[in-house]
Amino acid sequence: MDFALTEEQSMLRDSLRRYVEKEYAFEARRQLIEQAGGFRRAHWNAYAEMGWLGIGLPEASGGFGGDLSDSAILLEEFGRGLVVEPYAASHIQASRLLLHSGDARAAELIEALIAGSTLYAVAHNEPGARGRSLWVETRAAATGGGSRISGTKTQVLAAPSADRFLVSARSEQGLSLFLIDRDTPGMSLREYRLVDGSQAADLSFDQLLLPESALLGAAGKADSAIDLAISAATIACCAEMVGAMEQALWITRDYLRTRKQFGVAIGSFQALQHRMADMYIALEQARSMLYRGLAYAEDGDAIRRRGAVSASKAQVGRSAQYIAAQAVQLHGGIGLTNEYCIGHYFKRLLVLEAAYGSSAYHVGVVAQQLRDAA
Amino acid sequence: MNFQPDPADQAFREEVRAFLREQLPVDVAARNRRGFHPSKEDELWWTQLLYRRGWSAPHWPVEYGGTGWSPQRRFIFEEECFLAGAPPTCAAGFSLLGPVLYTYGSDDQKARFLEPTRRGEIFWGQLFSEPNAGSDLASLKTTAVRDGDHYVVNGQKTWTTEGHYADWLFCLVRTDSSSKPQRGISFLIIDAKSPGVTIRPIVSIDDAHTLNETFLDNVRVPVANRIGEENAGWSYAKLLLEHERAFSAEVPRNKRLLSQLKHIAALALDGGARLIDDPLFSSRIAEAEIELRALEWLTLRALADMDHGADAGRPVGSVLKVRGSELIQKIGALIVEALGPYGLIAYPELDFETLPGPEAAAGKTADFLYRRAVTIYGGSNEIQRNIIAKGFLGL
Amino acid sequence: MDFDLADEQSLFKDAIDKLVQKEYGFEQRRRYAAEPEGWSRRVWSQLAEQGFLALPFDEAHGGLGYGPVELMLVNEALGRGLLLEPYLSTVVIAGGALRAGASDEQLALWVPQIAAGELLVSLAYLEKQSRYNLADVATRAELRDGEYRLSGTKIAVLHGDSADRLLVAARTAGARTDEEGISLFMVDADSAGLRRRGYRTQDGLRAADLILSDVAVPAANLVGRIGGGHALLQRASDYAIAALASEAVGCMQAALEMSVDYLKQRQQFGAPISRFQALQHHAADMLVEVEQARSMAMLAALVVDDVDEAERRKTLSAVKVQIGKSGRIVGQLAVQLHGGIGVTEEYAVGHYFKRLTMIESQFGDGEHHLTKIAAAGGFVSVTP
Repeated sequence: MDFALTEEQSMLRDSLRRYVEKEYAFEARRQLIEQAGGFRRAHWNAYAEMGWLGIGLPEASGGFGGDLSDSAILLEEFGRGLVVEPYAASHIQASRLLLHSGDARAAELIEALIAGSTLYAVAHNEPGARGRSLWVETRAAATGGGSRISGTKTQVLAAPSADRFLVSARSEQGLSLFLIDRDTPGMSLREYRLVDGSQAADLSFDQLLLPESALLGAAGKADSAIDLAISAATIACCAEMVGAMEQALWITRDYLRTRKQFGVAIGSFQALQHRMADMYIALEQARSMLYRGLAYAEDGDAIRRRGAVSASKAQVGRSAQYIAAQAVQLHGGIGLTNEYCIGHYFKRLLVLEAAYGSSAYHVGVVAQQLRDAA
Repeated sequence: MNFQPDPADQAFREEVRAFLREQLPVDVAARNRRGFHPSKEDELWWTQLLYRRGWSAPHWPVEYGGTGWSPQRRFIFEEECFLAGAPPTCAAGFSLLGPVLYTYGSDDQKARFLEPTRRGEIFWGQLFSEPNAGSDLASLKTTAVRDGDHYVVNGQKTWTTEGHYADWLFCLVRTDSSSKPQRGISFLIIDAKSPGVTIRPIVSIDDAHTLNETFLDNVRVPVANRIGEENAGWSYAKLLLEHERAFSAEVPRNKRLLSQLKHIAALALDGGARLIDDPLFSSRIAEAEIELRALEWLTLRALADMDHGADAGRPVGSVLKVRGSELIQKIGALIVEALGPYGLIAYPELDFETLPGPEAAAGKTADFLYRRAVTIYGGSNEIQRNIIAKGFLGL
Repeated sequence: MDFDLADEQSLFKDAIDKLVQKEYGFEQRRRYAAEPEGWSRRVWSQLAEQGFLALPFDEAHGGLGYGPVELMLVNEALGRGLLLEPYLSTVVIAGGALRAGASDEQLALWVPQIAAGELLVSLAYLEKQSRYNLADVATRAELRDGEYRLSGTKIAVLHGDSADRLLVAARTAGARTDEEGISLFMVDADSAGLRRRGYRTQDGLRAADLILSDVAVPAANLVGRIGGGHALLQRASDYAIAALASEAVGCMQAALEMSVDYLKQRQQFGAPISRFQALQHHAADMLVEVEQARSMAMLAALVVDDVDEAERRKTLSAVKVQIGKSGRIVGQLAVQLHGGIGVTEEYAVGHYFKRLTMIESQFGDGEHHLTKIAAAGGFVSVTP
């Protein structure tokens, strides 16, 4: 085991940090959310140019090799800087779906994804899922060579900006994935913003007719690709959360050093020092579980993988809730305004905590595994 | 000791309920239960309606238009109004300014302001905190310098809740900087339309505007608008902080949030079932309910002390504040969790119906975000723990 | 509602406080624990003489006819003193079952003996498989030749080793977990076929496991309706929860005071450790918990005789959850604030922690009661 970054990884981290500090500085980020609706294609193109969309993807498809640990470096930096574009939900998830789809076109599609020329939104999540990776009520029915799909997808991140959707639907044969172009007639989007400023939409399909070519991989065989993609995205999300909570912690530390009350820096109050110490302990717990999750995130043994991923998300989520709440609390009034950064960390962590299942959900998964094994 | 509830109080509760059923329109109630900030129109309209019934200032002394209710009845009234979704009345005016005015104000000041406030004709804004004087209020820097029969006020105030609604402001200012920080503070009332008063919105974490910062730039305030003695304002403000401590757990708000949580958990889909049928989730709701019951009883005990005019012999206000505020946040987090995907959508106050999700979702996460404030304002929970530890336990 | 003590209640409280203060210093308690029965007969006689053992029973049966509030005051004092005597087992629990189900004749016979301190009764209801389910009773009772014959095993019978009589729950009909078909029998402790194994529990109190092998019980010793014992067990449980709540408040209050004193007196880094804000805040959190718990003990006193059974049960479950949680926080923080000596037998604070820990699981732990409240739909109505 080696927990230190390689020289190459350190360089990657540094360039990411420089980019994020510049592009997502407080005012720039505010404009990105208020004026550009929480997504800037120029950013995405820049990621492609910098090679960040190839991280952790096979060289055979134009990627740069490595694995999810490399992506985690990126996501930590994105978390630290409150990047709103959904790298985990869109890129990590879509790339895994394509990679594991078994579709003959996969390599070509991944190439376009890495080049940034196709931006995918993954339309898989449904209102009742709450973290269940294979909960799909959207129906697909075969019809003369193509399929008709009906159903609703919720909180499809980046949907308003995406070129293409990867949509899951269930038929008698099982779960299938479909590639749907954004301009397909008959698709309806209800767009909205999430509380952290990121953009999303609900998609609904009413007997939407799709050609045979829309099917990705074999009909009814998408379970494992979806499950793997969600495991990877969940751990990616954990990495983003660890980055965000670490930054929230240091921002808070700096605030305690400078803010004065009763004639002294409030950091001199022991109760607040101990609170920060507890936050730090929570952060270390989260980081450790992130690393453990990375070790299992792409494990072929589905039960072992799911157990590890859930354990990670549960701990990271708990730590995030504590750190986010205390970061705001220790800031006092200023923590409650949109004009100061710490509240935005709170909101970002709130959204990420709920993504791919809340920590409560994941504790339930671990408990279920215990019961199954007993 | 006899813990049986008083049947006459129960009858009073029914009377309040009947009043609310008759007078509170359904749409106003729905709007106010949603969780967005109330509008000035709703607040003043409701105050006027309460005034006609003689109920707009229940806790003021009868001679100034109060109802003469026991603390227990005031609690019942507040709880029923809140649960029904009645708009609040101007808290700054009724809970903060009113008591100072009728206790320390001159006859002329009382005549000018008490009745119009009670009628719902004046909206008040509170100017206490400053950017560098929050928990440490005594270190405030805003100055008021005498110039003939006026004070000239300069400084910056912050966290003025509903300041943009305010017709009049009340303000703590430093009139003498040579003595100890607590001395030398005076209490002024200022016309919000005075030249030099600038009220600027602070957009809060819920993306909404209810907080403000107020800049006072050579604002001329007649000396006649000073309440009480010069340099004695600190003790007046201090009285306010002591006031109403039995109400500080916000039991009505906690109760309303809990009832909404249960509603949402019954609507929410969890796989193929209702979320409320998940034993783990319902246990977490039950846990919150138990805490609420304990809090309610702690409040009843505090009200009884208040009724006797007795010193509780324990730091009850701080206990209530700590636990009540933490419970608000806990229930709020459960609501956001219960809403699942709809707990993350930034619903606008208007036209939220066009977005996905149940009607109950609108305003809930915004409220959860805004209620991060409850453990911070009114003496942060850290300050409350100091009060308990130092003031009561003698540590 | 009135939260102040009435004159009579004040007298009452003073009397029990004085008794506990005089007889139950920490060293005295150690001596009592070393006595053959693990508690003090002398203190028991004093409790009898001052009427505390007669407290909740009807005057008609030889009791004093006091209500739950007075019982609350007594139990709080017993908690402060960490009493080892069988008050909970005899007066509260067995006494509660008897009050709920025994006939006037039986009560007229037994109450005066209990009140005089001459009769100790323990309720034997738990079995090793039953956990917190009062209806889970495998012990059988059969009517033969005009008397009942009981066979089975019971565990964790509080003060079961010193009890003169055991109030045993046995099944006269139905399957193992049926509510109907359980009957209660007053069994002489020296009956043939009854074996007892006594032991000390973690909190320093006593309990016993029983093995009943064809133990003969006269038909006249059936308590309550045949097959109707479950309701009596539930009433006993109601009374137990209310009593444990106030006992726990007494423990918590004492542990808090002790911790505050310790913080003021203990020096580290050249100053009393009470100077440290982090420790001050721990003490403040303890106080918050004590106040929450006290409120719930009062609520328990209000509802324990409520005729609305569903409301009563649900509320007592809430009480038990809060008491358990507050007790855990206060007990653990008290030990933590004391540092090393907090975990020694020689110092009282650890004993409070142990008693509070036991209370948390007696008559249902938090999880058990939470589930019950959730199943009953909670308290607050549902509205959009």
